[in-house]
Amino acid sequence: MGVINSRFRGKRRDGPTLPPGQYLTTDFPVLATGATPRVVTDRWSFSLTTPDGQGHRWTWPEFMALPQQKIVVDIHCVTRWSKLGTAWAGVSIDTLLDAAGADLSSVSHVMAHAYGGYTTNVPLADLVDGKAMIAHTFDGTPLHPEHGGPARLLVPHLYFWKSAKWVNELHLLTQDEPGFWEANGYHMYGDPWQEQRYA
Amino acid sequence: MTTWQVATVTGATMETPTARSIWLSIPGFPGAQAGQHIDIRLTAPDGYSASRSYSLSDVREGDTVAVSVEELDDGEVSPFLVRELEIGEQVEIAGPIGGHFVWSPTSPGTTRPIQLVAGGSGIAPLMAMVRLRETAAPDAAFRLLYSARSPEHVYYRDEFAALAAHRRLPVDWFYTRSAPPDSARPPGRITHDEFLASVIPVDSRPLIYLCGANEFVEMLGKWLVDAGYPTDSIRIERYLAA
Repeated sequence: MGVINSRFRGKRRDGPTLPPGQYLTTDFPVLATGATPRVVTDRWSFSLTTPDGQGHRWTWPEFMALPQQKIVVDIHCVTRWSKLGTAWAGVSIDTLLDAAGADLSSVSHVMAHAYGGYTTNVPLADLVDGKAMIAHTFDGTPLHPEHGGPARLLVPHLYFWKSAKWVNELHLLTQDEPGFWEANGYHMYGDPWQEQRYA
Repeated sequence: MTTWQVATVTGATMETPTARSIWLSIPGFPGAQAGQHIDIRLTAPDGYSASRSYSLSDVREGDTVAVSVEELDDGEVSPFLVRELEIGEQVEIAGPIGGHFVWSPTSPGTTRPIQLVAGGSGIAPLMAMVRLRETAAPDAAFRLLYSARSPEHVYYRDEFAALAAHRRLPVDWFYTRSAPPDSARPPGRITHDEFLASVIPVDSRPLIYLCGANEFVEMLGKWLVDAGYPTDSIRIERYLAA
């Protein structure tokens, strides 16, 4: 403790409690490592694969025929913006795991893979029990490619880099492994309330 | 928890009427790669604090770095950094941050030509690369495309003049709102054809670094991909406006 900038005032919005170091935005900023992948639903597929490479794959119509869910959640980006009350529709990870009939006894973590090559790792426990979904609709309209459409992983209780845009596979793992940002200086877990931004 | 380090402002200069470069001396700073950024945190006397990320515009001196900050109209931190922060004052910083949008003179692939593309304040991290090249890899093939609102909005003007005088860096300038009086091109946003004619051709296998506002990099990134540049040869840093 110690540094004080005596003439700094800031904007002082009164309002909801945000995770440490975050500020409220009503915008929806876009961040990505490269150009936006263009994925058409005709050729889209989503797979859930077990540690030994077995799995289940869904085409877009099959995916949309699964039980659907709507949720309203707050999201927190590691670049410090938070957006409250965001409305999403999609398929919960519980539904997908159930439909695939996967044996989860040796599974501890999951690596999400995306069109374009992005990856991110999440503990299995943080994806089940209603904590996460594969989302295809934001604010009542189909998810825009810039924001990860046609479908992205949504894990709102962790920093938003974990909510992999353009997701196409969840690969079940028997141990944790760093995904893209985790291997590039960011925290393996990423809890905004403990401000776990960097490694 | 973020580890905050104490930085002292050792110098500052206005790059444009709304942008300021600030030099920070950070004892114990491990040094940064060109393209990385730091978080700068300000704390008011009552304990209220706010922090934002700023690209480093100079990484050549290990524990003294520079950032170039554009004042945003509704900004929380940038107005203070541009208008109030004094030489000798301290701020807290975290970093360096970022492992993807970096150029290193010694990493594999350094024989590939480098195409830098800047929109407005997006020139900051690219300037860290240009400056580092001068000291660490002067023979590296670099090209810059810089789109700015007007000549008065261009950062590092003296330095670009010196680089031009010594033929150190080919630069394609594009002005979107007002152009110099002797300019052959009227002001306006860069077009698809102008863009592709200015960047290093795909056959030369360049590595491309794009930095600027989201709409700018989204559009240019798409043009590059549609023109056949491999997606993994394109690195993008998108600037937020808050």
